[in-house]
Amino acid sequence: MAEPPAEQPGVPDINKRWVRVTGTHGDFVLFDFTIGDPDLTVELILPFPAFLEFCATNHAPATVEPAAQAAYERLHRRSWTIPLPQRRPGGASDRLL
Amino acid sequence: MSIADKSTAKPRKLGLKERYAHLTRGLGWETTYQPMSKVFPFTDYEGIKIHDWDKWQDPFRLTMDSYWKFQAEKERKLYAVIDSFAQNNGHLNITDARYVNAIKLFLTGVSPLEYSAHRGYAHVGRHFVGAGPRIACQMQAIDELRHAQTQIHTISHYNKFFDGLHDARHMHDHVWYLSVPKSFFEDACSAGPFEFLTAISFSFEYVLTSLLFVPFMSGAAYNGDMATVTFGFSAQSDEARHMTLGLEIIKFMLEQDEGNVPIVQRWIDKWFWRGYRLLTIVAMMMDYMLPKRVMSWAEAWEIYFEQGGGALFEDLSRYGIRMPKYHEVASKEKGRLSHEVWATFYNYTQATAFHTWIPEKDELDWLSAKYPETFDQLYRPRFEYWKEQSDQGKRFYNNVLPQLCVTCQIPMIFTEPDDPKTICFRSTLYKGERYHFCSDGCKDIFLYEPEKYIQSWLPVHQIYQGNCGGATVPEVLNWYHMSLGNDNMDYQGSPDETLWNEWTADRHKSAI
Ligand SMILES: [Fe+2]
Ligand SMILES: [Fe+2]
Ligand SMILES: [Zn+2]
Repeated sequence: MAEPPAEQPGVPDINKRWVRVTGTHGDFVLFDFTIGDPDLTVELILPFPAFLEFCATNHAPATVEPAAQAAYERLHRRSWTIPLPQRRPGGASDRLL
Repeated sequence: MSIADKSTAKPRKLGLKERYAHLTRGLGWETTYQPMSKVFPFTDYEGIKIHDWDKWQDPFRLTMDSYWKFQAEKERKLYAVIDSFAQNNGHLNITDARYVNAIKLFLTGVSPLEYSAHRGYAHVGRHFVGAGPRIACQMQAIDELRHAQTQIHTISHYNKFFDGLHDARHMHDHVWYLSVPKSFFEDACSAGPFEFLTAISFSFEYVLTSLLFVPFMSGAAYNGDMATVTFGFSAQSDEARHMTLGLEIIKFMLEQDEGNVPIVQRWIDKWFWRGYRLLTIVAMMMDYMLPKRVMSWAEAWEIYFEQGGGALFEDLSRYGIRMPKYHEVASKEKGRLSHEVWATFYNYTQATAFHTWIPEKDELDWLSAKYPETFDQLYRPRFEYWKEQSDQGKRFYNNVLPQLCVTCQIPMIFTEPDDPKTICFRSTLYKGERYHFCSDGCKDIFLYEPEKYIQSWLPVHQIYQGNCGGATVPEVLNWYHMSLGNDNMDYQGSPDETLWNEWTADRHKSAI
């Protein structure tokens, strides 16, 4: 008879996602993105409006590192004066609709 | 004391620092049966002088048991996430199926380099006299093997649904444009151990790799490809160690002997240029292949090389090291690189393992905005003309095989540093034969070691010599393991597009 499966240590939940802003560069936001477990973190860079869109689609709450706070807020304020990107329909597939 | 007493006496537990000392200094000794020069035959011939190997400091001081424990735990979580994405049909969350072509390029062009890096580090991890760098290289060899594995495992999910991903290893070793990354790494692996580390650990990992990984991972994340983001998890924490090894080895060589400075400088010049040429595929991926863009190649070059690299070389100037030769040429090319390359792949789409397309209008607008000085004058009219031709049923294919640069193996498509309308064409005579180059950088590299580069396996020459399956496109594609009309040609009308449109139509239907 088969042995009962060995104790499965916790599997990270891929629906839990976080973002931590670590800096800015011109109009770009530098941030760490985590899925499910702090070990699963990757450093990413996106333009500010894309960054906001990314956090929203991933339902990822964002925190800002203290050292990046001032620069990030500056970007935030400025974003009201820069044109937001047009939402791109999903390429060729949307022509069907 | 009896033997029994001895075995029950509890051994004192060693601290991490002591264990690292035993692993590195304790396991390295002066050989007596054989002279050291015979045990380590590759350490002298490159001309690098090391007086005291113990001056090598590894800031991470990782021991084998802590390495296994840490990586095993990380890997367990990583594979759990990879499985979850596969089970949840993660491929349906990408922006559109054109995106997968970036993945195809990555799997055939980059993942095999991780494996080459594994082999390269395993090799030099045997050949340094100092145990410190030997251990650091051995651990990196294992890292790189893990990187190759996680990438293959992650991307194998896409292979179930999309074309062009079925035989990456074979393609890497045979296909014309993949000889660019392949020959880059073979050049490094066939160099001496010090040049290898300067090439891969310093010039590639330290100076250029952020240009590959950060934009690539950001592009994957923004385009909904969380599966690929997971291999970023695996690689990025190792990268900190790899970059440190890169900087440490450079500083170590420079501090050990003044005579090392010009040798290291020449390697930095060579490998900067080799690495920069290799990154042309990244430039094209960023500007053309991501349905939702992250940043332009020119912006990435400014942030990661002109600013980041500038600060690094300022720091190294106290050792007598200057900026790599021809870095200013790379900066002059930043406004045209991706356009010249995408145009080339568009022309030769019949022989690529990914699809090409003319950017849509809003994408052309994005390029115009990002490249105000070059795009509208030089490239946009070209793409619009090709689109027009294609709409009239006269899609342009280039049926003449291109001349290749002997050094970087890229077709001779680049333009003069100061004139984007003239092909940059360099050549030299060596032993009665003429060799061609895409740039002064590539020509310099050849001239320093002509005997090495005259052996280059140049895909176009090989096709003409009849070594690639035959003289016709279908025969060569067969030899590449590519299926004509499925793996290649335009995205429009491809099986990938058809399938993707069916899926999205289904999803819209079920949403109603
Ligand atoms: Fe790697
Ligand atoms: Fe690496
Ligand atoms: Zn070249």
